[in-house]
Parts: sequence; C-alpha cells; structure tokens
Amino acid sequence: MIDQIIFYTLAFIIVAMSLMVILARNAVRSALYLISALLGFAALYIRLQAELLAGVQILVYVGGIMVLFLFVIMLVSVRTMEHQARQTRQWKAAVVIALGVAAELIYLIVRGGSIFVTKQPPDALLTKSQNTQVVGEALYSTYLLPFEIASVLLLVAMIGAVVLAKKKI
Amino acid sequence: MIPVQHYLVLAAGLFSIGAIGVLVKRNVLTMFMCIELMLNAVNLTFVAFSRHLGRIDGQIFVFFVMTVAAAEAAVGLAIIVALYRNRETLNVDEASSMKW
Amino acid sequence: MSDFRYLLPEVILSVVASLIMLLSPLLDRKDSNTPGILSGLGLLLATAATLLTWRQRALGFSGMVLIDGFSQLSRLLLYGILFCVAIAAIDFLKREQINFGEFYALLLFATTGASLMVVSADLILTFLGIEILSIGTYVLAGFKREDPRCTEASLKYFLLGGFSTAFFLYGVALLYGKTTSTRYQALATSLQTVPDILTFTGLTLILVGFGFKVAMAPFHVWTPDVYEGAPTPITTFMSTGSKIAAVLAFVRVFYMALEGLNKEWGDILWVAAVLTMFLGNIAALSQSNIKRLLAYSSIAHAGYLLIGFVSRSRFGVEAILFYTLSYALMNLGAFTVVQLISRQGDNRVLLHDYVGLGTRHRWLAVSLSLFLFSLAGIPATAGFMGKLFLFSAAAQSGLYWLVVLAVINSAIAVYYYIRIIVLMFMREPEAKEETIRIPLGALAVITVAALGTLVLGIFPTIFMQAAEAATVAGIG
Repeated sequence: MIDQIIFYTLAFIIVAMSLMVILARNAVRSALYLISALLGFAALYIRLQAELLAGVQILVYVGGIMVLFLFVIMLVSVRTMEHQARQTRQWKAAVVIALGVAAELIYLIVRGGSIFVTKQPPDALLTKSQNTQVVGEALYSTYLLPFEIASVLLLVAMIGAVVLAKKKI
Repeated sequence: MIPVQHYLVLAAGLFSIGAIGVLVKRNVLTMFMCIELMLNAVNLTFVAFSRHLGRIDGQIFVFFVMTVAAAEAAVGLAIIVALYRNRETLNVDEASSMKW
Repeated sequence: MSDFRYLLPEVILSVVASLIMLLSPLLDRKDSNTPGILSGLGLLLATAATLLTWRQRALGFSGMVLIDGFSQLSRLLLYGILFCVAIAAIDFLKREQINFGEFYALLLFATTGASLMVVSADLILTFLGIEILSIGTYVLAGFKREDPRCTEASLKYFLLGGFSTAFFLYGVALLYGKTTSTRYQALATSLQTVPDILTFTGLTLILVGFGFKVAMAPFHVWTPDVYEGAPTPITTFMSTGSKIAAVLAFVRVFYMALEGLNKEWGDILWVAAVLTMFLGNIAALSQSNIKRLLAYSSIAHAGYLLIGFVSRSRFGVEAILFYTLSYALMNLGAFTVVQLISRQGDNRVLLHDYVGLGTRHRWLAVSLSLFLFSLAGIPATAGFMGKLFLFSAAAQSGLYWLVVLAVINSAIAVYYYIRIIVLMFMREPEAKEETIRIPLGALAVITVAALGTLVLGIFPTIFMQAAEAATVAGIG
C-alpha cells in the first residue's frame, strides 16, 4: 500500500511539473519546473533500486545541465524572451499528435497486462551486492567500449562548444 | 510492488508531453528543455525494465544517455549563444531568414 | 583489451584528430595547410589499417563490435568520401577566413562516429556513434560563427537531431524491455514471430530516428534549410558522408537485428519511399538556389535508396551499396563545383548565376553536367546503373508498383537537372566575370568523381562484385 501511495504521489508531481514546463510563459520558470520534475525522477530511481543513478541524476542533470541552462537564460537576457508570443501555428499538429499518443497510451494500459507477466522481479542481480559496485563492474568489463567512446563524445562536445561560443578563436 | 507497466505508462506520458512541447513551444531554450524531458522519460523506461528483468544493463544505458544529454546540452547552448550574438532573438519564427 | 585491435582505424582517426587539436595553436591560423594535410594523412592511414585487416571477421567487446566484409567495405567508402571532403575544403576555409584546425579535428571525430556506426553490433554503441557524428556535424554546420544563416542552420539541425535521437532511444528502450538485450544477434533471435504492440512501437521509433538521419519523408523538413545555410564543404559532408553512414547503419540494424520483422518494416518503408521520392522531386522543380535544389534532390535519392530496403533481398542490399558509392561520387562532384563557383560568404549560389557558364568556364560546366546527368540517371553514368540495380531488385521482389512510381519520379527529376544544363550552355552570360581559380584539391576531387561516375556507369561489375562479397559476408 505504501508503495502505491509513494509511486502515485511522485508520478503526479512529475507529470504536473512537466506540464508546467510547457505551460509556463517564462523560460526561467520552465527551467525551475523541469528541475522539480528531474528531482522526481531521481526519487523514482531510488524506488527502482537504482541508488547510484538517483545520485548521478541529481548531480549531472540538476547540478550540471540545468544550471547551465539557467546560466544561458541569464546570459541571453530574460527581457528579450518575456514578450514573445506563446501561440504557434503548429498547435493543430500538436493536438493531433497528443490524441494519437493518448490513444496509444490507453492501448498500452489495456494490453499491458498481457504483454508483461506481473511477477516478483528477480532480485538476485540487483541486491546481491551494492548497486554502485554492480554498476561499476559492468561499466568496466562488459561495457568498457561504450564507456571509452563516451569519453570521445565528451571531447567532441567540449571542442564544439568552445569553437561555437568563444568570442575569438 | 508497482507493476512495470505503470512505470511504462508514466514514461510514455512524459515522453509525449516532451514531444508536444518541442512542437508547440517557440522559444529555443524551452524546446531544448522539452527534449531533455523526453530523454528522461527514456531513462525511466530503461530503469524500470532493468528492475523488472533483474538485469543491470538498463541502468548502464542510462549513464550513456546522460553523457549524451550533457554533451548535447553543452553544444546546444553554445549554438544558442552564437545565435543570440548574431540575431538578438530566440524565437524560432523570427530567427528564420530561411523558411522553416 | 586486445579487442581494440579490431578498432584500429577508429583509434587512428581519433588520435590524429587530437593531434591536430594539439598542433593548431602553434600554426599560422590564416594560411597553414598543415591541419588539412594531416587530416588527409589520418584518413589514408585509417584506410590502410582497414585494408591490412581486410579479411578479418571478428566479434569483439562482448559482442558489441562485429567486423565483417560489409563493415570493412563501409569503412573504406566513408574514409574515401571524407578524404575528398577534407582536401576540397582546404581552399574554401582560407577563402572564408575560417582556416582553423578545429574544422579538420571535428571532421575526423565525426568520421570516427560514422565508422563506429558501421562496425557496431549493439544498438547502444550505434547510438553513441550516431551522436558523435551528429554533434560534430552540428558544430561544423555553424562553423562560420558570424554568419547568421550558418548559425541558424546549425540550430535547426541540432533541435531536430536531438528530437530524433530521443525517438531512436525510446525505440531501443522498448526493444530492450522486450528482448533483454541490445545486441543485434540477441535481437535477431528474439524477434522472430509476429510482433506485439510494444515491439512494433519500438521498431517504428527506431525507424523514425533513422528516418531523420537519412532525410526520409515525412522527417525531411530540416534538409533544405540546413543544406542551404551550412558552409558548402559541410553540405557536401552531410549529403554524402553522414547520410551514407546512416544508410549503412540502417542496413545493418534492419537486416541483422530486425530481419525477423521485415514484413512490418517493409510495408512502412514502401510508403515512406514513395512519399520521399515525390516530395523531394516535386519540391526541387521550383527551386532557384542550387544548394536547395541539390538538397531536395538528395531527399529524392534517399527515396530511391529506400527501394533497396523494401526489396528485402540480398540483391537489394547489393544495389544499396552500389548506389551509395555512385550517389557519393556524383554529389561530391556537384557540390565541389558549386563551392568553386560560389563567392566569399557563400554567395552566388542561385541558378541565375549559372547562366552562360558553358562559355565562361567550359570544363567546370562540362563536369557539372556530367554529375547532373548521373543524378538524373542518364545511361552510361553511375547514377543510371545504380537506379537500374535498385529497380530490378524491387522488380525481382515483385514490387512492380513501386518500380512504376520510381520510374515516374526519375522522369520528373530529369526536368530540373536538365534545366541547369540548358541554363549553362544554351544562354549567353549577361555580364563578363573574372576567371575562377581552381585549387589543386578541388580539381583532384572533381576529376576523381567524374572518372568514377563514368567508370561505374560503363563497367559496373567492378564494384558490384565487391558489393556482392560484402553482402554475402555481412547479411548472408
């Protein structure tokens, strides 16, 4: 019972915050709502026994990416963005997509039960030892290559960001 | 114990909120935030499956998605700064000398 | 650790890229040729490394990397294309005063990503490869930072690229949930039967992700703007290198991992192919900017390539391989000519500027005509043979309607290609203009592309045999 209460409260908060990201007029507010939603995700990860991810989510997303967003919003001045029209000519397309997705969601819920046998998930891998240890072992053995490739990716992003944003190169 | 499909439906809903946001919003920064929301919905799907299947792989993938999100954020925000320097606007419609 | 030997070309490329970054502060920013030459050397080294291990067939990194004939041939194709892009870019960068080493470093990193996409046997690795390629390209598209058109092109590409990435990843997540793996082999064994709603959604989402990358309708809207706004060498790169990497990875994912669902994706791609061809060709009819026109033409060509997918046969894959090479040659040639004719600031790219080119610069006009003939699919050119193979692959699989629609499209396309040739040769120039200096790099690229277009058009079996061997090794 307590599981359900926690899950549905968190789900409600995340959905509400995500909706506010779209509905807010001001980019700063959108960013703050998104931060709240991301914290909600972190809480869900803890419920899903991914403690390390929950920490990383807060450090990387909230502490890194979203702070970067806020910096850029401040940098390009809030004033220019405030009086921008919110209405767009694409809202009709958006409504159609929304309806399509809603239909798919309902279908997923109805059919969901038959696709996934609801069972007690095997805990062996996840609770045998500490979450961090299991993740670390996988990251440095099976997933060594993508791990290395990710560092190349970050290097490319770093060079790219400097090339684009630095005043004089 | 929450069944996995509840997580999936939540993630699908958040993914579509993000997708709609990208299509509806005109402010580049907000559009970009909506993309981040979509990526987070994907992450939730991965973690939920990881728990459901009792396999760690799903959590590992989330690390890579986060790396990519961080890289995209750095480059994307640099592009936005460069654009602002040239145009002084962040509205996609105004910023269109070429037809969208 | 020893598995890294399978990735020798990729390691070489990223090392050379880092080397360029380290050297470039020491070099003259204005007219140093060193970064360009280094990047060319790096690509040659990577090619040599690929050739040395040509017969290798290996599954490394716990099943994440699969080296076989198909990936080896794909690597060679990509390195060759990138070599041409790099040496043709040298003089352009000097003219536009953006001769920075970072350009070549990013180009090489992007190649590393493209190369990873074609050797990968795991969706997560493929995803990382796509991202390295895309992030490099976002930056390169906006490389002329003070040009607003350029930055806008970069922004549009970035936003839609990020959007499509999210779709691709969601697809991967759903397939992971269904099959507990992202390895192509594991996916292939699990996904044999009629798919349930979840698998089908996953498949469609991955298709959307690839659709953006290869400019498949209805996900092609970004193409004309980005191709027009980006610096011309980068337009060349996007229309050849990055598109071909996406097509080849597309082949590997769909024929190796999702083969069991080929009824489903075949049907979706049938519709997408027809839509892509028609939208590309009809929009190209009314263009007045040559970069935009070639962008729509490249959308249409993506449509022809999709026919090879719909055929769902080994011959179809061979035809795709043949077509990617001939498409790369003619686009490399055409865009390099456009780059030579354009003036500083990427001006003079309107069709109007091509009036009477035949009398002023005969050889440029003749070679551009050859590439346009090939794009239009006139016999004795590579484009014709490529289309012939694709259409006969479709006919062999009984897709007669698709062939009829594709032939109609080829006929429409002839109009706008021939129109440019008519402008160049049948009309007198309005004003006398100064001569165009043709730099050595660009001259070499145009010569190679022109020879390649003719040789493939007259002796197609030369490459077709290699394509057949690669397909047998890769797809079986």
